[in-house]
Amino acid sequence: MSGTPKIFATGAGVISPIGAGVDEFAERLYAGCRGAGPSPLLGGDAVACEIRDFTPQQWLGNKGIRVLDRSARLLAVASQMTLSATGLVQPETGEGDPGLGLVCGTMFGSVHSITSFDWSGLTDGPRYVNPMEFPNTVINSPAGQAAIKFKLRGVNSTISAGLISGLYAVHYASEFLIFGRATALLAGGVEELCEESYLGLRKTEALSPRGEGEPFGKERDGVVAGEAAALLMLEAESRVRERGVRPIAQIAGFGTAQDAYKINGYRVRGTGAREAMEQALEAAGIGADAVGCVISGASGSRAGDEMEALSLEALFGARLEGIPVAAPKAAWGECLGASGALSVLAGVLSLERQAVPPTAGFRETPFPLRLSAAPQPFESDYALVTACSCDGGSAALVLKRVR
Amino acid sequence: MEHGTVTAEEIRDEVKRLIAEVTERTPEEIGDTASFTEELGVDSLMAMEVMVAVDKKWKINIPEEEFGQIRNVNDTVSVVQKHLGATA
Repeated sequence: MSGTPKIFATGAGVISPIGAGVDEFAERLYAGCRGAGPSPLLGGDAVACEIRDFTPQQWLGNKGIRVLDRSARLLAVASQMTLSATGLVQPETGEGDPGLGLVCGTMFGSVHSITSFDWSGLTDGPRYVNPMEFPNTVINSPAGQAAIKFKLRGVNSTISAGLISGLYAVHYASEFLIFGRATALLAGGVEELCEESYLGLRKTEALSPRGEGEPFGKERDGVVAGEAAALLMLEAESRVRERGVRPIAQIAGFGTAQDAYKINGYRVRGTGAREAMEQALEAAGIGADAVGCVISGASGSRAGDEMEALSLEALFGARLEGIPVAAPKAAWGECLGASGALSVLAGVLSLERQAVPPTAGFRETPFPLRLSAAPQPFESDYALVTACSCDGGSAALVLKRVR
Repeated sequence: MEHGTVTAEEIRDEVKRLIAEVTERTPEEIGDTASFTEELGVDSLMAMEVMVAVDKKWKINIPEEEFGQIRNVNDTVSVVQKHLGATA
């Protein structure tokens, strides 16, 4: 992206199965905590990475929460955290900032709200559906609700691109900032755990029957469903200087490609994934030799993880065995549309600490990857963040350390 | 629901509970004559939600034009009583 304005992340907010707020999230991520366990939300014998005892009131107060569905609540919490962390909370009495906006990635979005609205119409009759539930049935409802709540009057977009949604949202927001169409954008993703998506993942045999996600593991047999909301505040260099804030990382490059193969299967040879990674490096103006670590989107999927490993091998060659790789979905599960944003946050933390987080519970891998159940140190200014989706989409993002 | 057994006070309590819920207040804060729109901040979507809940609760069918005339708790109680009488 030489010649174009540099885009920086200046703060973040996160609510996840391993912790709420960047500090708690970071502490538990690096301690190797895992979010998987019995799910009170889903009941029965379901195992999931659930945000247990989620009480949005502690961040949002008691007013205005009633009409928000779970996704909107999660995103509102992450928005509140990010705005507070960056000093961009809008005064309650004002009109809000037309340069401040939000780009949100999500995969299933409002599937639960759609289902419950339909269910009420079918069981109680169409006359008795609750009109307040109807606005929640659109996929951009969380982003819209957050904009209303926090007076974000600028760009408001929702990106739905499977498991790459969160990464894509960060890129999409960066482009708006590069073109000068916004001054500060919250970017990331949200995904709620719900019966509908859980059932879909189970029926398509994406879930681990053991309820144990083992990204890149030898015994991996599927994913553990998760939920989260994660956002970064993105701002262009000039604005960062003007506000006198210290960025936490630079968004240096992005790439994406489609295998155009199947709606629910990975093309294991991984051409698209490698192309996405190459594009991201090219956009960042660096070669593969400059990459110091990889934050992988591997989830425990047999085909998906193999595909990503092959792509990394094709990109890095023999050097791959020396590059620390982390697959943090071992900690927070498969958070679908929010995954990419969580990974970017893990990448930011890795560059700050010059150590990738553990791949929690890691034992053994059949691939030539340097994985560990402990944090792995490295010395480099660049982190590569990857996301590969079961619908054929792949994306990669390069983060640069800010000294 | 036995319509004949519903008292005006029961209707009043339920209406106050519903209005309190949609306006995020306590039922005690909802006065009998307080204007829904001007004093309690009820917007059109909230009003629709209350109307649907009232219809569902007593299995009645208040026409929208009639519901549109309602200004406060007292009005609501009268309209509900009228329709309960009609269906009892």
